[in-house]
Amino acid sequence: MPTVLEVKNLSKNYGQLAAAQEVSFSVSENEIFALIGPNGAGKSTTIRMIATILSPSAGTAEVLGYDVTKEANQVRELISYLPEEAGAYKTLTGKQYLEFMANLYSNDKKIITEYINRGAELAGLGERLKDKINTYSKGMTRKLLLARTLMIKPKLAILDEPTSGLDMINAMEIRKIIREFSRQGMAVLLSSHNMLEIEFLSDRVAIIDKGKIHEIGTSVELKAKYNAKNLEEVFVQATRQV
Amino acid sequence: MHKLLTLIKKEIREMVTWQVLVPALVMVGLFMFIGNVLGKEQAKAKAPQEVLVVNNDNSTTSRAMIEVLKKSNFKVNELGVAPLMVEGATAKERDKAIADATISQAKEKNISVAMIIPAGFGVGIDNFKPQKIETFTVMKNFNFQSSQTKAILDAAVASFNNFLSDQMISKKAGGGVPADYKNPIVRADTVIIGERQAAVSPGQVIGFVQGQATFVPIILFVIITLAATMIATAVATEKENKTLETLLTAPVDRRHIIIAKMAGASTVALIMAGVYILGFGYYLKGLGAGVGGGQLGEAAAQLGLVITPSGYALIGITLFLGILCALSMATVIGSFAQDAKGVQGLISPLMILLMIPYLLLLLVDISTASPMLKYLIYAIPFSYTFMAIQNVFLQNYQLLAFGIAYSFLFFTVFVLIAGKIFSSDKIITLKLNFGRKRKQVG
Ligand SMILES: Nc1ncnc2c1ncn2[C@@H]1O[C@H](COP(=O)(O)OP(=O)(O)OP(=O)(O)O)[C@@H](O)[C@H]1O
Ligand SMILES: [Mg+2]
Repeated sequence: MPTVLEVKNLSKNYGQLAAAQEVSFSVSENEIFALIGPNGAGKSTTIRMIATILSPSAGTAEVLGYDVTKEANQVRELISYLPEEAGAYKTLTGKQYLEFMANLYSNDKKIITEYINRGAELAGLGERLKDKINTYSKGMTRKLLLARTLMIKPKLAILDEPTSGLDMINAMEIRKIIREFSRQGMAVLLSSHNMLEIEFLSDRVAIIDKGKIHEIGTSVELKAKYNAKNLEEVFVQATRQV
Repeated sequence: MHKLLTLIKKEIREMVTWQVLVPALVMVGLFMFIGNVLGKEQAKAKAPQEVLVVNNDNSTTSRAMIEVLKKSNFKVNELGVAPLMVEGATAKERDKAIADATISQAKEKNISVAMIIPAGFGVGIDNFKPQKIETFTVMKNFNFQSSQTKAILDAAVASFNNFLSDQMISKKAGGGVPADYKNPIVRADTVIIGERQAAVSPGQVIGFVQGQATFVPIILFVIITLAATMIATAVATEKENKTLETLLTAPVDRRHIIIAKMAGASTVALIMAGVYILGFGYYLKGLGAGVGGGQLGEAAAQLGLVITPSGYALIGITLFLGILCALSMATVIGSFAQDAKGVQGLISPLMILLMIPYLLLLLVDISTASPMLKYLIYAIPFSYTFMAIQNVFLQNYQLLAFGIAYSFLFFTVFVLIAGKIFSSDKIITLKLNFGRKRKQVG
């Protein structure tokens, strides 16, 4: 499988604080790669560097060979990013929001229409898509944003806690969608606090704490290594050792 | 280009909302209203003023006095005293009855000024003895109109005095024009503004200009504050909602994000400036209805105190640039804020920058100010905004041109700073929290 994302010794310092330290991993086509770790571990920091909005203090990350700092513009053509706890423009309707974003990813009318139609379908909001976003519930907004992220069929989807704040049914639906897109070739980098979700979704997992990656492997491998029944136990043991 | 237009469209959609348009429209309405009211008041002052006169003397002199009053643009209501003459009443009782009748008549007819010419008035004057006139002023408020009432009374008494002293002078002097004896000096006033001059008194010019220029800075202050807060809040809200993070990962030129923000802000500024000019035009028109051209209007035109189309253009450009300066600064301020709430504290330096020239220009004459104060005023771009109309009136074209160039430079610098912030990760990591420890990017 060809490699889509290659991260090498990526670091980020906020003054004295080393939020990410020499983080290295790779994600290939069709693969779903998950970052797990306690609050403040450095998941979002790592993700934002790869998403080209934070500049690394050291190290590199490449998307299909393009460097995230030196060739950020090329990288931005290939990725799509869902920030944690994000909102949308409150004065727009859901439909207008999808239209706005679709127009930023292509100049071609036909492709734009295709994006919008796919987004509308993925959002699953029906008639509510015509309502202003400030009338949406948290879950509805999250679904709209995920639809926006995936509608352009990126080479690499970067999802920071994609299902946080969603009920079980909606979360399941979204996991299914992510999986489906991944089967069609999309590489996925995600973070989550939900171990069930990670076991269900991800092909490989990295356990990150205090800015450092402690383990990388499939959930089966990690469970075997720590002699644990589930990922939750692995998580507790791996982060306790630090 | 397509993406830039998409961004601009979205910014305009976000920024040009009813929250912006409604205050702007209210502003035009306010301008129109104030202009109209002032115009009407001025017209009212021109109309014949009503006075109530009780002629208890009924001599040739007192009758002539009333005729003089009528000729001097007063509407005279006379109250007959005959019905009040009760047989057997003392002089005191009679006087009291007349005074009571005068007051009740004035109130009934809604006349604010009344006067009683006492019996024996004419004889006294004929013997060159100063005589007393009783006056009554019915006060209903203490504003602009009450000073009008005082003016009516003063004018009526003055016209009496004038008439009587003329009469006395011509009797004693035996020939000649009485006015020449009273005022041997005749003033010939000339007011000079820049290269122009007109034969008009300085008091009239000051009154004319102040009528036009008092409300302007206040309303300008409000508009700039409103627009700046709005833009800073818009940027901070994008940060807070993380919509900015999404935007920054999209394949769009980051300079376009700034340009679009500026275009949206400029649209708001343009609407504001346009509304402002429109409102000001209505305001002047309302005032003009009262002034009605005439001598003062002619003198004002001679002095260049009339705003020509090119004058309007200069004012418009200056105001627009002033608003742009505020907006570009507010964009930078917004990128320092973590959320919309944080904007409130961060915007205060901008408010102070607005406040300084606003207050100084109201109180200080820059041409005679100390050099330090002068440079302070000239260094703040908003000074030129507040001075715009005055500078057009005074034909300070050099200062206007400098102001435009300086404001443009100021605006450019802040746009570049905003560009620098947006094209690095500072836009995400910058935050200033008053009271909390300051964090900086490594
Ligand atoms: N802009 C910033 N300035 C300073 N420190 C920051 C900044 N952003 C994050 N940090 C710090 O970096 C560390 C890593 O934060 P990060 O957001 O990457 O954690 P996370 O793993 O995503 O946590 P969570 O599960 O809570 O989302 C934390 O200690 C955080 O306080
Ligand atoms: Mg996080």
